[in-house]
Formats: sequence, C-alpha cells, structure tokens
Amino acid sequence: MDTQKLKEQIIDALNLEELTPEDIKDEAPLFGPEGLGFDSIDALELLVLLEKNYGIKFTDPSKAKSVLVSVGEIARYIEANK
Amino acid sequence: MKRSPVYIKASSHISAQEPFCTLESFSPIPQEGAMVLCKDPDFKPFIPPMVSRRMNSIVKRSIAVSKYVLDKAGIKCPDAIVSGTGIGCVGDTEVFLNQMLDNGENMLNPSKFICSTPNTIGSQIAIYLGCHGFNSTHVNDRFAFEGALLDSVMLLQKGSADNVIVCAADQMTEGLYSLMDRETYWKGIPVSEGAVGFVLSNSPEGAVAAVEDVVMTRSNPSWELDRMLRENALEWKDIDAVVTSLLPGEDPGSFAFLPEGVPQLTYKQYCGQYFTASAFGLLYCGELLQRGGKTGRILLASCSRGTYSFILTSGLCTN
Repeated sequence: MDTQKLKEQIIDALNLEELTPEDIKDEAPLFGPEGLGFDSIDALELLVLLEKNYGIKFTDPSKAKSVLVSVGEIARYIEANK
Repeated sequence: MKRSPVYIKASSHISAQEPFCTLESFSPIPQEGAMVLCKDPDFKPFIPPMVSRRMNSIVKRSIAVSKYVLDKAGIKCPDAIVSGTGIGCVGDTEVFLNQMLDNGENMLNPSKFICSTPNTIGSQIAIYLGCHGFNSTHVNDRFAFEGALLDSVMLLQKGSADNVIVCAADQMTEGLYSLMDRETYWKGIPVSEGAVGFVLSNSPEGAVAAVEDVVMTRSNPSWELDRMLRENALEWKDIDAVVTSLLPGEDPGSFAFLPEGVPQLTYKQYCGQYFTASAFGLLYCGELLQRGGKTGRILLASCSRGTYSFILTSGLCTN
C-alpha cells in the first residue's frame, strides 16, 4: 500500500501542520518520546481515521495497540484487511 | 461597606486591534462588512506547534494572552485561573455538530468533542502553565466576563489567592453569526471576537490600576449605582469619566440615569461587538488611567437587554 496517502491523512486528521509526509518514516514509532510523540487522543483519532477511510473497526483494543505502532504497520494491516 | 480593591498588574488583548498593542495604537475598526476578525499574533513563541495542533483559535489566543500578561506582571504561575466566555469554543462545536450530522452520529473525532466545551479555555491555560490552583469558567452570554471578574475579586478579597489570571474570550464564526438575530443582537457596528487577559492581585505593588467594585443588577440600575458609590464613600464628582457599552452614535436611553456633566466615552469602536467585549472595556479603562498618571476614577457601565454591570476602576494614586 502507498504510505504517502496514509501519511497525508494522518497529518490532516491529527492537524500536524508542521510535518510533511516526508518527515514521517514508514517504520518510525508513532508513540513515545523516540517517535512522533503521539498520545492517547491521537490513538482515538487514528481509529476514527481507519474506520472512516478504510472501513476497519477494532473490537479488540490489544489488536489496535499492536497495529498503531508505525505508519508501515498500519499500511500492512489495511492491505491485509481490505 | 467599602471593600478592599484588587489591583490590575497587567492586561493585554488579542482583538481586532494589533495584538498586544496599547492605547496609543488603538484605531477604530473598519465599519464596512459584517465581521471584523482578530488580528492574530504568531503563536509559535507562546505555544509549541505539537501542543497547539488541537487548539482552536480561541484557545490559542487565550493561552497567548495569558502568557503575555503573566510575563508582563513578572509572575510565572498564578494561584488561580478564571475564564469568562459568552459561548465558548464555538468553532470546534460547529465542526463536531456538523460531523454528527454528516456521519450519522458515528465516527466522531474525539479532539473536536473535547475542545468544544467552554471550560477547555481555562483548562488548557492551566495545563500549559502547570497551574494546579483554582480554575473556573463563567459562561453567561454578555455578562460572562463580569461573572469571572466578580469571582476573581472575591478570591482575592477572601485571601484564597494572591494573584489570578482572568481571561475573557469569544470567537465569531460565519455559522454563529448566521444564527444570531442580527437585528436585535449585533446591530450598529461589525461583530468581532477577542481574548483579553488580566493579572489581578491583592497587592498594589507594580499594579497599573485598581478595580474598586463590581456590581451586576437586573433591577433599578440607578439605585444600585448610587448604592455602589455610597458604599465606596464616593460621589459623582469623584468620577472622572464613564465608559459605556454604547455603540458610537447609539441612543443613550439605556444610560439616561447617568448624570450630565460626567464625560462619557465608548470602547466598542475599537473592539467591535462580541459577548465578552466588556473585558476590552476594562482594559480600555486601565489604559486611560495609566495615561492619566494613574490618577482618577473611571466607571465602566455595561447594559444588555435589561441587565447592567458597573465596574469601578481607579488609578493607584487616587484616594
């Protein structure tokens, strides 16, 4: 899956005005100080984004936690669950 | 009984005027057009982009102006934060409500919901400043600021706080404007928006002006005003000017009880009309008192649909 579009959607949904898609590395962690520093509200926003744009709905919170680690991991999950 | 005054240590604004400017730079807002929006500063020096990304303009303005007045007052963190807003974060509320309609009440973005509540303003100021003290939000149409001010004055007079940030903010959107009854609500001059911040203290040290009394009433304003003067051991001859909420050229009928001979001034030609514009009125009084050598007394008188408020201000050398 093309991660460029996904990154653009994330930037738009999370209002990351200071970032461009090029600033977000595919495998860079989204959460925590080593990554982009997303927080729990960002996680909720990402869940809404995935449901709205890709029809993906998580019923198991632990599954969501294992997917929302990087843009690359999210893209692979979208590809596998289209 | 004469109450002890509270002191304005610093005040500033983000409004239709240049951000944070003082009286010398005030100029009447353009009269053409229905709305005159805020002139925003660059928010980056006040709020890091990663922190501000969920903030609506009303929250950014409130934080920036609060930080600005705290710096001016030389205070790192206030003891209390009291906010006043007529209608709160209406921009985010509109987005959230439209999402509810568009998405059939499903897949709603949490940020817009969280940020749509009026107390987001005060809580975001507190989070940003790391202030764990008293925090209160007054949401009361055109008298939200007066409620916040009265709350702050009582906190200071009771000794519950030594310094308080009072922030009054409202924003205007096309959606809100279209919903308001323009004939009765926003007639006269353009509607606008703004955030005004004050640092109030119970100490006169370093202060720019004093707030001697605050009164709100729905009945018999003339009697309440006389009582206010009497309780402060004042007569009309002690009042140097009255700043009213009248629009320039508006029929002064609602303030017909004010005595002739006391100069009357207005301030809405500078800030436009919005719910908490009276905060700009108090800022204007403070600016006038400072330019007058911190002497004199100015009464800020506001009226909206039968409710009146009177804020008695003075220079620090007046007693």
